[in-house]
Formats: sequence, structure tokens, C-alpha cells
Amino acid sequence: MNNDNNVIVVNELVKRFKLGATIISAVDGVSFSLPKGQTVAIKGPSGCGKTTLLSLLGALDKPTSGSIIVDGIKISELHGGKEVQYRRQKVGFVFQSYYLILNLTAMENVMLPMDLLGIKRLDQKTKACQLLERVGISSKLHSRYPTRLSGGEQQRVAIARALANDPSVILADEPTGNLDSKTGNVIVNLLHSLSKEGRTLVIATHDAGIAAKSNIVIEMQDGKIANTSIQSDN
Amino acid sequence: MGIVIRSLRNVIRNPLRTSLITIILTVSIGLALTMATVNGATRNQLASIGENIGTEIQVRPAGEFGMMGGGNSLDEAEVDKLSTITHVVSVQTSTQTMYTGDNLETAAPSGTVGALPYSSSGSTMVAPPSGLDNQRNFRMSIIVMGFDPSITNPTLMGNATLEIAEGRYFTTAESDANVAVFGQNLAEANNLTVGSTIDIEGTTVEVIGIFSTGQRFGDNMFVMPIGTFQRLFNITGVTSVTVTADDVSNVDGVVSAIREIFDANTADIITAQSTYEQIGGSVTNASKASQVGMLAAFGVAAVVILFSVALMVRQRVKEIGILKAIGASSWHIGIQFSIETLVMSLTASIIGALITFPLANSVAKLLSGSTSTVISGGARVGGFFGGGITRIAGINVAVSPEIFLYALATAIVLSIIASIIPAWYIGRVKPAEVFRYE
Ligand SMILES: Nc1ncnc2c1ncn2[C@@H]1O[C@H](COP(=O)(O)OP(=O)(O)OP(=O)(O)O)[C@@H](O)[C@H]1O
Ligand SMILES: [Mg+2]
Repeated sequence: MNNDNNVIVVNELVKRFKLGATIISAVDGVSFSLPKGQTVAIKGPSGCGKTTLLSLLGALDKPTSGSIIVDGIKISELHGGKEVQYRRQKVGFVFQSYYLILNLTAMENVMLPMDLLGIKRLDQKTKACQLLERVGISSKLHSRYPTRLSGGEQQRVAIARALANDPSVILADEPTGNLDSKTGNVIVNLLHSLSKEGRTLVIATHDAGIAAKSNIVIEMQDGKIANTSIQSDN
Repeated sequence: MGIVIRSLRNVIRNPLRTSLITIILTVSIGLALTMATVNGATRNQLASIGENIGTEIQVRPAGEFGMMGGGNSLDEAEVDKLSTITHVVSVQTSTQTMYTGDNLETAAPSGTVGALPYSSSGSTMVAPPSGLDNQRNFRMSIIVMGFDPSITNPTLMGNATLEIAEGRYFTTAESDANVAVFGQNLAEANNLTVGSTIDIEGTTVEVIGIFSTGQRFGDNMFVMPIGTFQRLFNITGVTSVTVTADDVSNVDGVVSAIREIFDANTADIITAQSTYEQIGGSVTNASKASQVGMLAAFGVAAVVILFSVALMVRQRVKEIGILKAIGASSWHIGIQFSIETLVMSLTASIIGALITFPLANSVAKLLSGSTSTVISGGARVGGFFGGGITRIAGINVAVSPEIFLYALATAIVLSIIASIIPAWYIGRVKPAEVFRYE
């Protein structure tokens, strides 16, 4: 599995939390490699370590041991602001609760990652418009604040924002968790379509339906990988 | 540039939070600026008191409160020695007493002293002596002064200048003649005109002139040639000497020299310094009060902004986490929060500076209040009111446009102070934890 085509290489990854006297192994010796442009579902019951794994992949947290290489960068060893730079350039996040900035309009939320990259404002606007259109947000909603958008609409805006920095990896944690199944399906289809552009999509979910649509399904149990399946028909 | 827009958006999108913080800040910054202004004014006032008093030194018979003491006087031969002291520019002598005869009506009606509209000289108001404030039935005394006829423009008590309104002033030939020049108010109160005669201490005296000073006190007196004065009132010597030194720094030296001529049993010496301390005291108090007030108000402003910013970052921890997840550095987020704080404190400072204009005068009045003793009239103070205090109301508070510079500085300093907490806090926010708990 360890070839040049792999965009994510995880080796013997461990993340432990100390909770008083007890030590919780949220991720406990996980290894896998993911090829570029694939959709990957991380499946498993609540508390199995899905969110923790995504946080490690996104450099939002540091592993206790083991290594993660994303796009050739050994992110498990990043420090001193380099992890922020990594997130800014390589990663797009999609969260269950959307996490849009409430004081910014839909459009401005999408422009934000580009602003952080120092892209010219005019170019930010042009690209934000394209991205919003791409995720199905009509132009009359562009200047709306998140509180005046439906959950589905907010998640679309969040996906557009996740795409704004042109990331090689998109990490989505229960992206449909707050949506009804119909809207959820649309969002999942939208996310899956992103892999066609060569981005690697990692979705944490306990929804079997979503998992079934992915190329690769990693099943976790108590911080360990219980099963990995490759579904070539997707 | 986007960061500024984002900051402003946050300020505008939270009108309640913004206006609350801004209002509290406005009040405290306005108060700090007001106190600063008042403080500046009191400093100026102290400086000008010092200037006014300048180089004059008062020498009066010991134990005598002004001229109220009556018979005591300074020996003329000794007084003459004063002019030989080095660094003495001039020696002006005068003799004065309170007229006790009952054939003259005072021009100042009794029982209204406290309420009298005391005439103003320059920018200051002459108020009644502090000790007499509460004595409503005080009868304003008539003052008699004796002058050497060669002094053609004598300075009267209360620092007034004599200006002949009718008739004439006495000549050098009249140094012992039974003539008098009356103050306008006093003359009117007693139906005296040029040519009238009046009995003074058993001698018939002719009114040869009427003078006016424009001051109520000044006009409630009459002057006589020195010889006549000494003869009628049985006073020898002089009752008040004003010695002027050539420089403030020489005042102490001159005082020591005067002390060699008049010892403490013979004369009281009031120097600029002692007068300055006496009258400057309450201005100094006002100055200190305003300084404390200024620091307190600034402290409140700092605490307010610290607390509100601390609350603000705490409240927006999720937003900080999101920004970090998207790739914003702590530095970047810190700057965004600082701009937000700066916008609020700038707004508050500008409004604060504006409210300072009407507020400063009121506060100055409040601080100086009835205990204020600001003076004009230099060394004359105490001369008229027996070593008492001439109370002059009103510290002159001028709010300068510079206040906006101070406001700007205050806003910037406050914002810097207020940026410490977010800078520390933002650096510690871990997105993974925030998302888990929020
Ligand atoms: N910061 C932390 N401190 C202590 N324990 C933690 C921390 N983060 C995660 N854990 C624990 O690690 C384990 C894995 O948590 P994680 O959130 O990754 O599970 P999950 O698979 O995402 O669950 P869910 O499906 O409910 O979202 C859990 O037992 C959780 O309590
Ligand atoms: Mg989870």
C-alpha cells in the first residue's frame, strides 16, 4: 500500500488522553495508507476514535506516538506555526455543526481561507462565487448571514469554504449528523463529487449508507481498526 | 485588509455588546480626560499664583491683623532702612486704620456681606474674608489711609488704584492740611461732595476730592495726607510696608535682611512663599484630587476593557477554534481582536473627549468648591483682610483641543493593555478541544 500514489500514510498512530488517573487510548496503533482522489469512510460506534483520528490527520491535535504523512509532509512532527500553515494550504474541514463564522456572510465565510492565504480580494470574490454556485447556493443567498440559512444551506457554504484553499485533503466529521436524510444524501453526493477533482475525502460517520458509497471503508473499534474494505464498484 | 473588515463587522454586528462596552469606556475615559484637564488647570493656576505674588514682601506690625489692630505701627526711621537692603527695588509704605467714628455711614450695607456681588478684577472674583462668611451681620468697616502727598498714584487696600472722579488729590504743600479725598460710595452714603466738611476725630476736615476705584471695598474709604492722618489718629510710623525684591530667588535673602531690622516681636513678614502656601493650599488639594481622580478613572477604564475583552474572548472561543482550524495563526486572530478593541476604545475616547468640554468646568467647580482659595492681587492678599485669605472663586478651566490627542493616546494605551489577555488566551485555544466541548 505504500506507494507514490498514497496521499495519506498513517503508521502505528497512537493518541492517548489522560483523564484523571485513567488513560484513554482514543486511537490505539492505527496504520493505513490512502491513495489520492479516493473517498474514505471511517465507520464505527460512538467513542471508537473517529473524531480523534480526523483531528490528528488535520493537525488539530498531536499524536502521542506514530506518524502521519500527508502530501509528503510529516505532519506528526510539525510545530511552531507550521501546523497552521499546513491546515491553511492542504486541508479543508467540514464539521457536523457547520461552524461558519456567524458575523460573516456566506460569501465572506468562503472568502476567509483565501484571505488567510493572501489572495487578492477581487480574486477571492470571483472564486467564492464559483464555489458557492458549485455547492448549489444561489447568488441571492451570498450576502446572507449563517443564522438566516437552513442547516443544509449552511453545510453547503461550509463545504464551499472547505474548498476555498484548494485542499488536497478534505476531512469531514459527521457532515450529515444535523441534517435530515434527504438533505444528508445531497450533501454526501456533493462531498463525493469532490474526489473526482483528485482530492482525498475522509468522512467520519456511523451512517452505514454513507459508508456504502465510499471507495474505502475503515471500521474502527476501541481506537483500533477492526476491518478495512475496498469497494471498487464506487 | 480583510482582517480590518472582519473586525469592524464584529463590532457592528454586536450592537448591544459594542454599545455597552463603549458607553462604560466613554464614561471612564471622559472622566479621566476631565480630571486631566482640571489637573492641568490647577497646575496653571498654581503657577500663576506664584507669578502674581512674585517678588513682593509684606511687612506689618507684629500681631496686627492688617490695619485692624489700630495703634501699632512700624517706626519710620527703621522703615527707611529697608530701602538700603540689597536686591530691594522699591519700598512702598502706607498707614491705615479702621474708622471708628459714628458720624460716617458705611457705604457697604451691613448684613449682606456674604451676598454682595463683589466686584471682579480681571478674571477673578473678590469674595468676603473667610472668617466673616457666616457673620451675616458684619458691618463693613470704613478704612482711612494716610499717604505721602508726593505719591500721586497710591495703591489702596484691596489692590485698587485711586482715580480722582471729582475735585482733586492733595498736594505736597498739604502734607499736614485738614483735607481728605473720599471714595465715591462712601461720599454718596454720607451726602458728601467736593467742598463739604466733616468732623474727623474732633477736627473739621474738608472734602477736596472724590475718587473711584470701581471696587466696593476701595470706595468705602477715604485718604488723607500722611501728616494729617498721623496727627488726627495719633498714629506714628507706618502700618504697612510692601518691599519689592528684584528677583524671586532673592526674596529669602531680603526677608532675612528685613528680619535684622524688625524682629519677630516687632513685625510680621509675609513672603510670597508663605502666602503662596496659604492660598495655594486648596488649589493644590484640587490638583491632587483631580490627579487621583484621573488615575482612578483611567484605572476603571483599563479594568472595564480588560474584563470585557476577557469575556469577549471567552465567549468567542469557538470562533477562535474555527479560525485556527481554517488556518489562521494566533497572531492573526490576536490582531483581529485588538482591532476590535481599538475601534471601541477609540470611539469611546472621542465621545469621552467631547463630553470633557462641558464636564471639565463642573468638575473643577466641584473639586475647588467653597474651599477654593485662588487669588489674584499678589502680595496685597492678607493686607486688607488682616492676614486672612482672599477667596477668589473659579479655577479657569480651558479645555484645549489637545484633549483629542490625549484621548487618542488613552485609546491606544487601553487597547494595548486590553490586547494582553486575548493574546495569551488565543494562543492556548486548542481547536480539537473546543469542538469537543462546545
Ligand atoms: N480531550 C479528551 N480528553 C479525554 N478523553 C477524550 C478526549 N478526546 C476524546 N476522548 C475520548 O477518546 C475516545 C474517542 O473519542 P472520539 O471523539 O474520537 O470518538 P468518536 O468516534 O468521534 O465518537 P462519536 O461518534 O460519538 O463522535 C472517547 O472515549 C472520548 O471520550
Ligand atoms: Mg466524533
